[in-house]
Amino acid sequence: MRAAPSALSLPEVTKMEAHADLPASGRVRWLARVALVWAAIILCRLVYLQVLNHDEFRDLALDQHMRLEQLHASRGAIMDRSGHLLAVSVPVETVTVNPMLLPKDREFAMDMLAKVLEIDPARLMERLEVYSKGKKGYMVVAKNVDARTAGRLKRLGIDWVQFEQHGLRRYPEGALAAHILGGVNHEHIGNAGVELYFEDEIGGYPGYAWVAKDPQNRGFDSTLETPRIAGRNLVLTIDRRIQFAADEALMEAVTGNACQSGTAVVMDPNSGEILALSNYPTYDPNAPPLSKKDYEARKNLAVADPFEPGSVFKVFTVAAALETTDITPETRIFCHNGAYTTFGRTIHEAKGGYGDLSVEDVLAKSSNIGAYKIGVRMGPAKFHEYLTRFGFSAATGLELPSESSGLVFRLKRWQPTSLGSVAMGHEVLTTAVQLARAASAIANNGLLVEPRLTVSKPSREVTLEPVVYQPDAEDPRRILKPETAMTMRRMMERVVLVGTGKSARLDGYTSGGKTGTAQMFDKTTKRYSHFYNASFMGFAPVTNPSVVVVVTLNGSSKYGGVIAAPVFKKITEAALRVLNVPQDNVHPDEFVEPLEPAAVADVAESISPETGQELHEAMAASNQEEDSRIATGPAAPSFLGKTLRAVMAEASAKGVRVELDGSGIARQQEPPAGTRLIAGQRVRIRFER
Amino acid sequence: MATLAQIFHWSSDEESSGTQETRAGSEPVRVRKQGIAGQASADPYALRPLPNEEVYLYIKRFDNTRVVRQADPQAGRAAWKAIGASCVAAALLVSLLLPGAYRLLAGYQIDSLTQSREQAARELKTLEYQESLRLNIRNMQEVAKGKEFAPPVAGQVQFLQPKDSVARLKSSD
Repeated sequence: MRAAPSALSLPEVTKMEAHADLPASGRVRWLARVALVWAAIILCRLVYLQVLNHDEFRDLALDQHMRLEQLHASRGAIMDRSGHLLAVSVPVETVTVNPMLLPKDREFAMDMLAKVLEIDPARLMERLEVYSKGKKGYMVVAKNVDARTAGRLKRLGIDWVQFEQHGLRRYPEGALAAHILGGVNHEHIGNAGVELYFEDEIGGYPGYAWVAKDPQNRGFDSTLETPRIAGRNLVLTIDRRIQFAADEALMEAVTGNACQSGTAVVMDPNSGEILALSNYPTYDPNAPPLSKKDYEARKNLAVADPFEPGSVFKVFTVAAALETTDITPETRIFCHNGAYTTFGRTIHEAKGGYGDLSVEDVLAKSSNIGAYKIGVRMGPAKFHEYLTRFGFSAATGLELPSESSGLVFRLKRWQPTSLGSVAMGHEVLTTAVQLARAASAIANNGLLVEPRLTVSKPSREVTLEPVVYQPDAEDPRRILKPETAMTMRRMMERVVLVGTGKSARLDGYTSGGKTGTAQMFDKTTKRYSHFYNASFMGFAPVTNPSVVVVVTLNGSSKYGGVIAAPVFKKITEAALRVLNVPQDNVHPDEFVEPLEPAAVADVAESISPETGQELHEAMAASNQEEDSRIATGPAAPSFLGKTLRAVMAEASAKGVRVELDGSGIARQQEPPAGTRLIAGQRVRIRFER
Repeated sequence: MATLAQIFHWSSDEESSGTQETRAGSEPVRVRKQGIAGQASADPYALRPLPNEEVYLYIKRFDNTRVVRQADPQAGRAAWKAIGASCVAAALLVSLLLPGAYRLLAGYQIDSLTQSREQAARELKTLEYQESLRLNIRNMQEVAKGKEFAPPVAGQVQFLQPKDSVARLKSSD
């Protein structure tokens, strides 16, 4: 054992240790006390957070990482009968920024945004300054940004840029079938045509989901609040090739003959399918209306603008007479050589006069006196009954909004001269679609089919979902005997072969029809003007008609046989070729009688201005009543002061479509509570805390 | 870093040493230095420690290389039991935590896939629109005009092969 060298003795060392340890133990005690107090504070805070105010803080926490996101429901596409897209919603995004959250180097940020979005950075900076001064937290940078450009911005991961997804309605065929398709407003809701009529089916309903997001804004959990219902695709009966031919032919005729407007309707008389429906002036639904003229061009004349049909109506006069009297096509009618006075009114022929005419010649030469006398033989009651059977003064139910039902006065309101006027196509208002329906009954062996615009099954399965809308296809109603219809077809063929409708002769096909020219009533002067509604109503082929075509040119100074019949020819030939209808007149007679003004004169004798005024006033009153029926949706409830969940529950229960914006409590709503909603209209609700 | 437990232990140790101090009187620091041994000597019947008995001035080196540990059959078993229990506990813990973790990862994946699907659907719609824009009937009409297509006229006979094709074939022979 040897002792280790040591500088200090043991008592000295222990003394020093004792002095060193005493203050340390005091500090430790203090530290322990502080830790205890600290733990107590934490415990109290925990109790406050987790027990006393648990619900409030849970909601705050949920608000931080749970976000209610709208699930965009795309609007359904609209296609023609071959599956070609006529209307489609292209997904686009609106890029917005919160000026209050922008980084310090605003100029650089705006420069970067402007470069990606290809907009003027100086203008953007200018706007930003205005918004910043106003302390506004929301500024739209660019609208309708395509998915690719928006994707480029999103990849940058900038937190002060927000994106709002929505659809932009596009019509790839431009103005083709514009009046059928209609259009959508700035809220992407249909405002005309099938877009409005089928708003509930093709509009879709957006869904909502609570999405849990991490700090990098990546979603990791979601709970579906309301499932979205995507808009269904709609397949129309129209064929874009026939529609194109109709649009082109009508435009040429209206512009070439200095008419005010024109309509053309092509219908399959067997199924009631509308193959084309054209109006001129027309519009491009891709462009929003800017002027009054643009708005006027959007009126669907074929269904919403009834007119006095004139001589084309003689077809129905003769058809009714064949059914109800002993008249046959060969029955001779004395036509008083061009002037016939009855009940103090003198009826004239359009040109010259005729002596004895057979009924088929009355039709072929469009004799006013002949038509009047046929009407008289029939009597008002039977005639009125047949007009009702043909569907005049009743809407066709075509799937388009604002359809006019036309006007035929009740029998009690008929005056002594009414019979003659109606027999010639005056004192009655009808739409082009109603005429097509009535003519289809003759083409379809006496069976009246209702026109329709939608087919029940899709033809392009890759992109189509089943169409939700199934038209209530009523069974065709028999309104004429088959033999009467066949006789009428033969008589109408004669109009084309030897009568006023020679311009409607087709290459390779037989055709039948009737010309019509009626003086237009001037609502300003309250008198009949010297402008005409020039019409042609016909079908082809004669033996088994595949198409019925009605053409009307308004404000013309020429007769229907001169300007409307050639339009019929162009459209019908195109339609028959598209439909692959076999030709039934491959070797027509080489000789075609030259057209003379007298040969095509078919102006129906107009009625007295007073009666005309009464007729148009009655129609205007009927239209007002129709307009008041458009806003038939539920009244907008009051959502103000309610939470988001409460609003959604109430909207769902009341069948009201809502558009939600923000979070918290509902502070604003548009339209206000109590407003009667139009079909498909959404109530926009702004939530704020 | 001292933990609370250590601090408490230390302070109680100190307190006990304080007691010792009152009892031992003259050797307070030394008794505290003894630690557990010192506590054991708190036994009133224990012998008082000798002065400076804890001071070793010489360290003897022991050679344990030839020492053979006696086999303990219980120790191995106990060790394996401990390992097994730890594994089971770990497995239980993992099995409890795994679904949550999996759900979180799956959530991220689902969200990512949903975004991709939405993006693909959007692009498909855009492409469909662009396709229909190109196949617009007016464009088709222009193409037809460029290729000198014409609508067939009534009574037109279309020969599948030109009339003189047979003659040309014969002449080439």
